[in-house]
Amino acid sequence: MMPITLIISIPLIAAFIILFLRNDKSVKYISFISSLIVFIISVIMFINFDSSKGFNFTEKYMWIKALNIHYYVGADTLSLLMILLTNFIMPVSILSSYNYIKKDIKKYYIWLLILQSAIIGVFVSLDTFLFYIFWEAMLVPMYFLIGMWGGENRIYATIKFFIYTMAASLLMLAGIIFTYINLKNSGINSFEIFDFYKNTLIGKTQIFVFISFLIAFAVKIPLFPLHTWLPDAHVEAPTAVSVILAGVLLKMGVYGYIRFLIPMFPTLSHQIAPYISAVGVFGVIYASLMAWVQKDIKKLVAYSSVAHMGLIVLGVFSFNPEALSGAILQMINHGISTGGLFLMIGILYERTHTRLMENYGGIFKTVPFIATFFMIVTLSSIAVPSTNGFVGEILIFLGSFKSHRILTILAISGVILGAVYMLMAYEKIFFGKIEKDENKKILDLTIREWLYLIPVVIMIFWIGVFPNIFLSKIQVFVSSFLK
Amino acid sequence: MLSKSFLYSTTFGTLIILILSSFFSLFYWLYSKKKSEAITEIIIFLLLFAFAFSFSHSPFYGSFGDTYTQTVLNNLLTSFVILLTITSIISSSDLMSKNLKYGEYYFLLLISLTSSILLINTQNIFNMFISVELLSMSLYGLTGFNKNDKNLEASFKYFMLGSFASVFMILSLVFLYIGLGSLSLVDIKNSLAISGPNPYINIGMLLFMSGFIFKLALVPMHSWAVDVYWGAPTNVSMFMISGVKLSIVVALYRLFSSYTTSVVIYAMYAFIVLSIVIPNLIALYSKDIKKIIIYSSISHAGYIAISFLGTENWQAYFYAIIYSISVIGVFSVIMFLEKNFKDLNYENIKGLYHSKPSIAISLLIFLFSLSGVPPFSGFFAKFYSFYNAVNGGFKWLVVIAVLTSALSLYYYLKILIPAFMKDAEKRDYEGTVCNYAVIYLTAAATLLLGILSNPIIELIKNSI
Repeated sequence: MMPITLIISIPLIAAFIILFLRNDKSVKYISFISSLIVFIISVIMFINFDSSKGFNFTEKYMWIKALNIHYYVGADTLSLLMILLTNFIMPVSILSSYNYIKKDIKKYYIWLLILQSAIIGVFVSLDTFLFYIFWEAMLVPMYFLIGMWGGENRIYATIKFFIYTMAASLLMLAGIIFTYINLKNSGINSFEIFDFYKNTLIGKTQIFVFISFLIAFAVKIPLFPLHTWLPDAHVEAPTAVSVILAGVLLKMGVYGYIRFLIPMFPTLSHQIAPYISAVGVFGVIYASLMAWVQKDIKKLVAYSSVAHMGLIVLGVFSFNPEALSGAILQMINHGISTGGLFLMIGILYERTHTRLMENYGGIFKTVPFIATFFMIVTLSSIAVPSTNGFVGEILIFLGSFKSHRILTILAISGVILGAVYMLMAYEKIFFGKIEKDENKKILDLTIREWLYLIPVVIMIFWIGVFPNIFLSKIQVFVSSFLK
Repeated sequence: MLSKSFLYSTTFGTLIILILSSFFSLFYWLYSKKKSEAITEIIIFLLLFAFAFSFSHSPFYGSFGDTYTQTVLNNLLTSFVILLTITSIISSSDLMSKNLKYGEYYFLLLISLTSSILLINTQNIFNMFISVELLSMSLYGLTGFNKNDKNLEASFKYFMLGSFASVFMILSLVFLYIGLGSLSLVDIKNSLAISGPNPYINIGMLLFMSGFIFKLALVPMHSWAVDVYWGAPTNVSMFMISGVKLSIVVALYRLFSSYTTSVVIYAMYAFIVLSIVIPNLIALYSKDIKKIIIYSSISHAGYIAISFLGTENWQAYFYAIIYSISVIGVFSVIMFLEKNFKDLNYENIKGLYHSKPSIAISLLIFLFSLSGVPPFSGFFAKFYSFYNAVNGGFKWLVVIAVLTSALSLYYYLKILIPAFMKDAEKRDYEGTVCNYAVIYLTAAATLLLGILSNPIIELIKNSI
């Protein structure tokens, strides 16, 4: 069995089949079914996973002989959790775009499926070159998904997104080449990630490579002050793309830190950790304040996303088991809760075609179910106990307090701000008096929407109450990682 | 002496076929009373024959005192240049039907193809000079072929500046002959290895290389290229940027690698930096699609030259091959657009994706490949080239190169935006089957040759 190749290729095959379909309905069904199959396969992978073995399901074939590049894939706990998150979010976002996308339906699903396969590729590559290919290939579908199905200002947003990420990644390409040449000169002709850990870079070159990796991943996270593309991209993107962007794409930056930057440059990472954590915490506070003053609910959630990611960076750069496990768990939590928030905003937007909070107000009674689900994901996002967000954040703070005391205290104040702006936004939308007549006629959830919201809610409480199913595996990974 | 083995060699045979067909095309046109359009098919058939012939291997030979040597690599490149010519003829087959002077056109085209092949196969500086002159002469004619003002202006500019470059090349021959007494590249290489750099040879080689750098249009010797490639008929520009450029890259690389002194390296370094920075900056402000592609072609010559500086030598060939394929594709798309739009301003191609998705997707593949986004083949070519330069110790050059490729993204994306993201009413587009076929084929090649680059690399590596 080659489960990883299977989950990379199934979306591509589905996209290829869709290319020849003429019926919009079958396009939707096929893309949903393929994403469901991929999800089931990844759940089976999770069940069969042996965390003591390190990398499971490895496959290795020669690809480019001249440079000793391999098609080398495999999954450890971190990869597997990310795959699971991706493949959980994918069917949800495909279901959520059934009504939202009205033009060029076929092409939309083709791009979405190509995106899925590229994302999975990023998380499973164990060859740096292969990783880079997937890392950048993912930008192409994103570019078209935002640029073709986005809002008014979509072209500006998509170009900004593309050039921002691409410029940073191209610098990383130079860094990858430098490292490879360094390895080659010391007798290791290989692009494997594990061999990259053995680099003997020194001096200016080392600092260049380090910074190139640091920035390439920081843009994706996005770390303050490289976050400016994110609010634009989020506001313009269609719902499903926002969900994927917040849910999965932002995690790639942190994934890159854990997979590449820290193991490749342990000393430099430790030296720079206080500064990066400070930048992360500053991002938490800055983004929270920015979110507070937003009128557009989608932009508010986008800024809250920046804040959460800053917290995760703090967790990663604390270098102790609690904080790191918290950060990894929080990556999943953030995917689910922010993804859920974007889903809810999409549901409201489909009905009212506005994202400004002032146009809502008092709709709790008209749409009680929407309001309930919105409340649950909001609570999860502000980390109320018994939801998933709480477990992750408390672990991060427990760990980071050991390493960076003042920063942790500041970060906690950022979390309080988070509760303030999220609850205020909720109040503006759902409570008060109905001032607009059209708001009285908003329809409540349809069956399809129930179908994809229920799993999200289940995940929120499941991780909130029984985090151990994930944490036990994360801890094995973390203890071996920190060695 | 013309040895027996040369007469039996494939290169010789290929050249004979090409020369005979070029004269056939000329005389057929001059003396036949019924001027039939079928000559295009006949020429394609003859070229296919030459292609098949060049593909068959014959034993290694050297003749005219090692002036021409047949290696597997030369054979490979010869067949590839013929293939490029065939595809460009097929792609532009209908453009010519409006202009019934096939005889001259194919004569000039085949003569320039012949001289490109001579250029690829030769090891002697004098022969390089002769072939590049013959090549330029026929290109001057081709550039002004349609005889409208734009063409003639381009042709005249090309002729004036090109002859200026030739003068320097002749001067360099004098210097080289004084310094060494031989014009063979092998002798030059040996003399460098034995007695180190010699001022006469230094000056001579620099002058001769600058002639080739002029023909390759690296900055600051690029200003003719913009006018000529833009002013020439699109099918001629396509041929010039793909096949001709490939042969010039091969010749320049041979010159460079047989005389790699520090002066030459620094000169090349400067040319490369200028060529990858300046055209990319100018293209940002350009609105004409054809002009953007032409500026990008200048910067790509710079990216190809980056791989000259490394320690391995297959990268430059790989880049040139991949690049010329995408050029055939992108110029075929431009030809298609020229048929449907009067003005090639990129804003005009609004809604191309909705009316003609296959062409728009092909354009996307070419532009992403040119800008170096994986998994398209242009990325692999750039990656190998950068890798080679770092291997040769040119780290900061590669940093500049990645930054300029990030810059270049903007103008490639700029073309794609109206084509994909702006709505326009559906309209009909006219195009020919041949044109479409070439576009689809090259798009498929551009998409796949990167991912499947291993066999190509092995082929090139084993043939060097």
